[in-house]
Amino acid sequence: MSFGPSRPRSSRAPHEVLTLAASAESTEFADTSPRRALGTWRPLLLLALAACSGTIGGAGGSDGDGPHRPNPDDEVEIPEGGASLHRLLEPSERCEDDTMPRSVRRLSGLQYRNSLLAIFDGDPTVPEADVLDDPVVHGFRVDADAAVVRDLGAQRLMQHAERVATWAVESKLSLFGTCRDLGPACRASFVDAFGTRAFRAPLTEAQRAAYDALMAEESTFEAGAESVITAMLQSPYFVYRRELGERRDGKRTLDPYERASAIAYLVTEAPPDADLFAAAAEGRLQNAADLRREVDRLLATPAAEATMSHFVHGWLETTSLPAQVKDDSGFVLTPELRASMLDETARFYADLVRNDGGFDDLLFANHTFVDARLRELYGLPSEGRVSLEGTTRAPGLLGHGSVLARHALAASSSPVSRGKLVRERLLCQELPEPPPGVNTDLEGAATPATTTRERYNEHSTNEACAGCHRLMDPIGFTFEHYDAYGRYRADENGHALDVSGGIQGLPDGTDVELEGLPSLAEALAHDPSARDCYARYVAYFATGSPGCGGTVRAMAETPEASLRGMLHALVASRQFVERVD
Amino acid sequence: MRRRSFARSLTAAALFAPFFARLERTRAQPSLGRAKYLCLMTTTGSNPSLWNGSTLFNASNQPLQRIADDVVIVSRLNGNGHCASHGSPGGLTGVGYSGFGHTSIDQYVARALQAGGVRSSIPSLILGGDPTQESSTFWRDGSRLTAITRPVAAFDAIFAGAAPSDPGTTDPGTVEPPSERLRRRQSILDLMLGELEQLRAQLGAEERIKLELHADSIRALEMRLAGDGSTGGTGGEPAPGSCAPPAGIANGDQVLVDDARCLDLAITALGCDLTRVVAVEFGHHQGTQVRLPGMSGGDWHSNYLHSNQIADLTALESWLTEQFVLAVEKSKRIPAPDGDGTLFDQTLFVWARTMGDAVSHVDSDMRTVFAGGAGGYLRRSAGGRHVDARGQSHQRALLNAAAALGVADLSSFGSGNLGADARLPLEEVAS
Repeated sequence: MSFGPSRPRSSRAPHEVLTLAASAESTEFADTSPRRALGTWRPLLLLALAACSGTIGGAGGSDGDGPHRPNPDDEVEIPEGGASLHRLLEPSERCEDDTMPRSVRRLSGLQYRNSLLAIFDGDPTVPEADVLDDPVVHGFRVDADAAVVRDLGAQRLMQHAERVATWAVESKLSLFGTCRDLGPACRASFVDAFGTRAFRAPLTEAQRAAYDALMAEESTFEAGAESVITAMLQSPYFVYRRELGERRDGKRTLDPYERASAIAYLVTEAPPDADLFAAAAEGRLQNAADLRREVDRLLATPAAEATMSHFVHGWLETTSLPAQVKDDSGFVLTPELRASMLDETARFYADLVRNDGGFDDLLFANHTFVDARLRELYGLPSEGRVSLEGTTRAPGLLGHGSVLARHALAASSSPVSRGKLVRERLLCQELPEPPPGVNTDLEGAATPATTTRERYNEHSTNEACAGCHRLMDPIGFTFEHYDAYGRYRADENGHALDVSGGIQGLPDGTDVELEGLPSLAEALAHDPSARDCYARYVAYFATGSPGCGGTVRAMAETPEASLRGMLHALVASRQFVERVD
Repeated sequence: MRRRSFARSLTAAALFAPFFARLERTRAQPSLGRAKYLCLMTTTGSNPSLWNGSTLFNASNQPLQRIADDVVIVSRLNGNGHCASHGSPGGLTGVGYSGFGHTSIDQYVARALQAGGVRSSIPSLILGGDPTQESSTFWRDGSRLTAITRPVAAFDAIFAGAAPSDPGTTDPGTVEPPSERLRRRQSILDLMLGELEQLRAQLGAEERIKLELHADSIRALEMRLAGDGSTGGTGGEPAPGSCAPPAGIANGDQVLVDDARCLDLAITALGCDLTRVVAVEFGHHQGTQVRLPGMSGGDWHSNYLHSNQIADLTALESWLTEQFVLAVEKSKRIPAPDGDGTLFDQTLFVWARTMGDAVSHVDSDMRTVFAGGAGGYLRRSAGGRHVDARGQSHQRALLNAAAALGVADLSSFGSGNLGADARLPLEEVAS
């Protein structure tokens, strides 16, 4: 589902899904186009949709006397979740030979804030405001199409720019020079100094002239500076990242400053630092090796750690853990413990990226990072980087408290939620919504007499549910040693736990039988489709658009599936550095 | 902006210049059967077992009894499959995903009002929802719209408007004359439009749209600054104190509580005649965490709807109803901006839903609640009215909102293949 400005394709992608569903017995999924890397995945999608649409409860008709059942003449509804994921699965419509059109990309709210801070050397007293609304798409706030300035947007930008300018004139003008008159030299000096920081590139002659004229309209230097600051902070050259490119060697490639911004916002969600800006100015961002060098340098910064945290939590949908309501009657998942959980995942991921960890480590590494609170919850012998060997904790990300607690209900685990996580976030497989009329009241509160699994077995005995839930529940059952709070449990209310399960319909057509979470983690760690899926999410996070086919392939085929290598492949890709008219 | 200092400064009429100074209000001309303001509240669906029964009011909507004489409940509206799953766009648009050019009823009305010469400072306000979730509720021409989810941002957007940015930081002795500030702002916005055009010229068609939206936003701001954002209202001078932005607005840590604050701000915005159309979403169809008094904490979707926690769902529905009723009651205390009665008298309140039966994902029993004086449009009766739509298309109820505000051309709203009368408002709702 497209999310951006008005365009016909806002309903195109879902319509494609509809076509697939309606042609469940056809071979339309078997798209062999090399640009549709997921062609071989389609049979599973077909299987899922066919299964889910086969047994719909309730009488048909739209006469209001019973549950509505779509008929062929209806504008049949398409599930949003599937439609949304569908968009991620396909290479961007705008990919052309693995490049993208010239574009502008509005800063996210976080990037806007970081960009403001950078202008003023990180002074945290810069006025804050929720100026930009970032639509959530695929769990992230980076979508290149969805982020726009519309309706009251310009007013909000103006208002905040004025506040910042007033604040800056009071105490920050010294950052941009020492002269304080309205003569041409002083005006030019200020416009250049502030503008270069705000626009993340040297100003053009036209820009210099325009802002000089604006400043000259005022009667004092301070008023002129305030006017220039107010204007530049509303300017599209500040509010948008430009990826327009320049003609070089018969191709249109990002100019050095555009490259610098692209790398900086990718790794740090902030504008280029002084070193990166200097590299752009000195022609040291010319080739893939240059870009990889800067990526590696920035990955070591604290800002990169925050970015990696945003990615991994967006990918695993754990961002909302702090707000997740839990039943406190038996155990209190305190805000501090939730923070510890999130920190564990962020540290684990950043450590792997920085130290050449591979995709398999992401899911199957036998270590983690815990603080005192988490050590106690997990029952581990020590804090810091600890081995999980011989403990009750499962390896990799899926064994993290953040994932387990987030993908659970208030008081009980949720095999559905956990299975859905694996299907959608680790295998990039679409799951349809329950068909109309199906009773979904199956996640009832746990009772002492049953295990969660026994209650969920209703899904497999209820024909209306089984088609879809066999794609989720058997995966989710392997998590059952971990409760709603991420704690290990040997049994459930005294009942023995059955953690057998499986993945039915892997993209290669096989089924995998599993026994517990470690077996799931191992299976996914070595599954090429999971690696491909991860590459898609990284590419989307980086570019705000679905990755072009060549980009995703290059990332997924990185030797050793190195996480850092995947980033290297991304920044070296045509999608990252080239543009077409 | 510092909200406290902003509120303090309200007595200085010059502060608002040129923003409010040009909001000319003239004595209302009676317009029988027509509302001036639309307040739309929207939520996900519910468990219809809460609704069923012989009584109009029940445990889940009990607060409505306080305004029973002003309430019309329409049941058994058919969403025709357009509102049957999570994230369906049909709840407010009447169109499923396979349709084109989705436009939600709030935007349809706002556009029609503008086309009819009713120019508001803010053409429409979309607030609330869950900032952590992907939303697909509000649409314009096939493009999803993003709500302002946080109360502070909503306050700034509504009430700071084009007024001076932060009077609290400025020495009163050095306050810039309004004309000087206006000149500077216009110079800057002209420069911005020029830059947008320079960039736009370097982009392809799809990318250009982003910058065109931005340019449109600047042009609307320019009109507001120039005082051309007149309300088009037909009222007289506002009663003293009728336009008092609230003080002490803060963001909370609960989505639904923040949404309630947004609804309260929306009513105030109507009372200030800053806009004619407000829409406030409560929560999200999936994944909204609830921690409210009288309910066991949990997820609205997973726990309350799909784990059969009927008592919690009932309590939540009652809480939502309370917010709706509080909004209506507040409007009764606010003089109409044109001086003709109260805001309530001129406002149509609508509580619409984006799904029907959210448990079984069925939309054959959609429910819409209307309330308000609505300029006499709403057919009310003592003790409340119930209208059984008997399976008529739910978009017809949405069209009641448009008709109430005097929108004559309803021919392009919603789906066109649902029968001959699908683009007509429900007769039983109108007086």
